[in-house]
Amino acid sequence: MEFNQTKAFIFNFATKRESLDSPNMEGFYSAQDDMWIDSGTMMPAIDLLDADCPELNTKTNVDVERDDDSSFALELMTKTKVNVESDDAFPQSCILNSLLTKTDVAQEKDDNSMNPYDL
Amino acid sequence: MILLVTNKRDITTDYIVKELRNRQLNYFRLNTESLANYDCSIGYDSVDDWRIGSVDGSQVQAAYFRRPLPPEYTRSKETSENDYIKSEWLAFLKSVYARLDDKWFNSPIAIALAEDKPKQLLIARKAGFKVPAGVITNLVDDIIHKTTNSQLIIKPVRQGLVEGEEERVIFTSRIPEITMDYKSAVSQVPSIFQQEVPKRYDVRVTVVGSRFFAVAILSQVADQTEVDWRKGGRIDLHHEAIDLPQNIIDSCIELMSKLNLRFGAIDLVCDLNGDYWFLEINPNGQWAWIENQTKLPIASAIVDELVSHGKKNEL
Repeated sequence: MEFNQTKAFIFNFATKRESLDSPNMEGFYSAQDDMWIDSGTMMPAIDLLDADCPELNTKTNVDVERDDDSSFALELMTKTKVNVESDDAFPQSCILNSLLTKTDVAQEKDDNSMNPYDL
Repeated sequence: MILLVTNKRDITTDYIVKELRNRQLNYFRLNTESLANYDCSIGYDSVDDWRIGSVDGSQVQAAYFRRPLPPEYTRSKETSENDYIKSEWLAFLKSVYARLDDKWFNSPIAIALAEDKPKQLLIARKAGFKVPAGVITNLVDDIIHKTTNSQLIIKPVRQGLVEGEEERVIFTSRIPEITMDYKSAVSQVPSIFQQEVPKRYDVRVTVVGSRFFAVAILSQVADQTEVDWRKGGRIDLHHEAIDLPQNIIDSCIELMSKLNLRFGAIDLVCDLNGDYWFLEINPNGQWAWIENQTKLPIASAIVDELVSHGKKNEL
């Protein structure tokens, strides 16, 4: 492996984000059902994810790129595991994000959230 | 009433919705990106003096924090005005979060504080877990002198996504022996450097209140997933429910207690000798795929906890 010594060391281990890491969930949110609905079948996405379905457990990486059911499965697992399991992947969604990452000074400049919990 | 604070795309919440509906329990799903569509108010006569749409603060007995998104607003032609209005809505939302206080199943404050990986490692060790030797540093000297500098892995202190035009992901990765040649590159950002633990399999322990759902993830079947099972987005890795030794359960209980969490997704490794090692805990981690693969009743357990938590708040 060739290492780039000018960049931060950890970037040598960054891999391009594949579609597999970022599934595109086809469908829409139904306010009536309070759930995400698959636009192809008009069924709740989670009902397409029945693990009894043998297909789901035997998919290969290549297969999942073409398959909506698997996009839902990935939404439950891979992409989210990487970038959303940490709640502040949505930088302003978490009540304490600014407490932990912004100083008062920085906040005045770049964060209009003005979190009342800032230390 | 149980309040679900989430976003429209979070299909993990859909599992909770399904369970609540099956039990005919009263709930309200608040997709926070849509907050600006509701009629809202906060008063200051009491902590429950707030309203979002048809939901009154006094009706809410328990709340589940599940990846809410910042409120959206696009009605103005001026970007600056949209940004201003969004930030005001966000401030309003945070005030509601604060009003929910003890009603949270896992409070956002506890979640945020528990995201601190160095703290996790410290507490995990005190809780009796085996923790891989390592150091969190931007100093080459530390890696050379405070580790074996052999068979090490690197992982981010916070998150693995490098955003930009071409998004990249940093998974846990093996690194070569470190020399002074790496000094400049290493110095640019602190990272976690740890001894790699040769695995029999990965373990994900989903803790819901006092219930433990442990699964082995058979990650050693492919080179790609040997070091980090998330790599490659494979959904075909076999998952198997397992029983944990009592001492590991005890350590999980202590870890959860010290982090003030009622829910947590703990990543462990079972090594070649059958010993368990702590990697990290995700205080708001994913769980629905495990239920999907193994049929472990995690959504049901979360709803049990929300109901139980709500009853305590009624007293």
